[in-house]
Amino acid sequence: MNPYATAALAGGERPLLAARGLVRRESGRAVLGPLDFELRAGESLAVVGPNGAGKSTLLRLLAGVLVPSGGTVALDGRDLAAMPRREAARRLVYLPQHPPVDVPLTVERYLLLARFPHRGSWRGPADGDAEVVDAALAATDLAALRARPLSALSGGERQLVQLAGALVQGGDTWLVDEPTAHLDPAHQRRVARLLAELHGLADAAAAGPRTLLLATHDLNLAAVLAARVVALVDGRVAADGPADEVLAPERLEELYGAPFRAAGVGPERRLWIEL
Amino acid sequence: MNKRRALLLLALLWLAVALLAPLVGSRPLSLADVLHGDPAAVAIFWQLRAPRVLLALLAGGLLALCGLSLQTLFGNALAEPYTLGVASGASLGAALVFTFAPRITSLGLPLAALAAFGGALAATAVVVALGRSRGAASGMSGGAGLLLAGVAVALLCQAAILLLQYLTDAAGTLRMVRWMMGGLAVVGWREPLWLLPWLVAAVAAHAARRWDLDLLLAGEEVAASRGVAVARLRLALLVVDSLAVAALVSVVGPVGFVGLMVPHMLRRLVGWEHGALVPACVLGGGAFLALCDAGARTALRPAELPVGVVTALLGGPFFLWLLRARPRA
Repeated sequence: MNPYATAALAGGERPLLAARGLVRRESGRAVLGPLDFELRAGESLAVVGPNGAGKSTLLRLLAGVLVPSGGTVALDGRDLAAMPRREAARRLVYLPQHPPVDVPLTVERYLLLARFPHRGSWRGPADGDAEVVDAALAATDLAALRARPLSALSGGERQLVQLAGALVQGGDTWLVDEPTAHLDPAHQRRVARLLAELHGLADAAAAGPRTLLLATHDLNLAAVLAARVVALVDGRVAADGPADEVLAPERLEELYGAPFRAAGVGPERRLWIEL
Repeated sequence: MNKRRALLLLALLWLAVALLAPLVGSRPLSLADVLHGDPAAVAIFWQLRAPRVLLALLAGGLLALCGLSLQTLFGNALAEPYTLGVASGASLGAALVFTFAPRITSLGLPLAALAAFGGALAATAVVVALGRSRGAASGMSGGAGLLLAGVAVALLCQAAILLLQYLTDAAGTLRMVRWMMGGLAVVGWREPLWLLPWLVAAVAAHAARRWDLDLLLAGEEVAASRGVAVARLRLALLVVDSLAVAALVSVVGPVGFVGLMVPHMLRRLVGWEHGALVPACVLGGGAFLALCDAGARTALRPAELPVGVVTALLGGPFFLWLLRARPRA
């Protein structure tokens, strides 16, 4: 257990998501863990680390879309593996690194399906679902694309549709994997601002992420969005602390094996690599 | 085309085929003869033609529905009702009977039909057991494991059938080959009534899970994150599909093309959402197979072509035309 998490536990706050002895093996090789990990309600946390460190695997395991080879993930103290998927999906919203590309549905129909966890087992769209979709389209500025098939969108548009889908699904905890990868700078900015805005706005009643967990290679995005940063190396937690501490040039050089420079503090912090 | 109007058109087509197809065949009938009680016409109509057309309507609908189901469950456009080795298992069961006990009947169905049903179930059980253990090792995505296990079991069964064909006499070989071409020739209502409950169960299961299936169009990961229990859904629907296709193959043999191609044709008509595709497949698949069978009965009158030949000969060019006519959305 890391000291940062212990300090918070001593404060008496129960973690929203807690992983204990979490391990994921593929073809006999451990790609993640064993590790302990906690995410507290209202937190914004970034997971960083070199390629292959296990960031995406960690997010998938925490979202429950991948089954652990060992250990447990608990959501509010309840075992995620034993929880009905619908119930988990009402709390946890997972945005995969690669949004689906060749979905033959229109943006509107695709978003309507995101209400799935809120419906009865045998039920279709309910009253009010259309309004939720409209609100999400407005919040992401996508109303013009509503009748377009997903397969006809650009990468940046597709990522924004994923964010709209997360709003429609409406959980309070968002697990976001590389939201700005492969996007042009303007789309990167749009996605980052949207995430920051939604996290800042979200209270218990709002659709946005009250708790935000972000896996990213974009260290500036981590600095802007996250108060706490966890660094993974070879599937283990190598550092866990306030963003300014973990995103210090000397820590990053240890982590990535390349020289960094930094300027500013908190959300104003900017990092760049020396070529 | 409007989705609702397309479904209505399919329903009308289904009804038209149901009413008119029994009148054509090696001896054309007129509705007047049947209604006036001409004994020969009545017997042909009620004992031969009507049950046969009903069987074609049910079997075609079931094949298209199961094809749709497997294509969505595996996210694979080439999946079809026989992908998981069902047809090969059934053919092996039937081939065993043709080789070792060609003349025995039991439980009202020919022994070959029972053996085909058993073979289909056994093949599916082996595939699901193999695919599941592979799926467990690699987490949620058991799809590729199941497909590979299905192909392997199918090849194994086909090799066993070739061996039996080599060992048996010419008459036995001929029976096997004929059986494997598939056919809808029945006398009386036993076969269509045997198939009906399987179709009803398959339709109910897929209609109830149409939203889960829609979500699977966005991939396993998105579906799971939105609340679909992907592994359980896939296993449950595979069991339903396999039981239904086993029941079907046991009475009509492995009729090809319908399960693979009809869902693709209908997606162009009603789109990809399963709320419309499930009824469209039941109606469209049934009408397509019944039409093909009517063609098979009349093209070389009084001889009959195997219906599987006609489905592919008619459907193949039609589908190629569709592919060219309207590029994918």
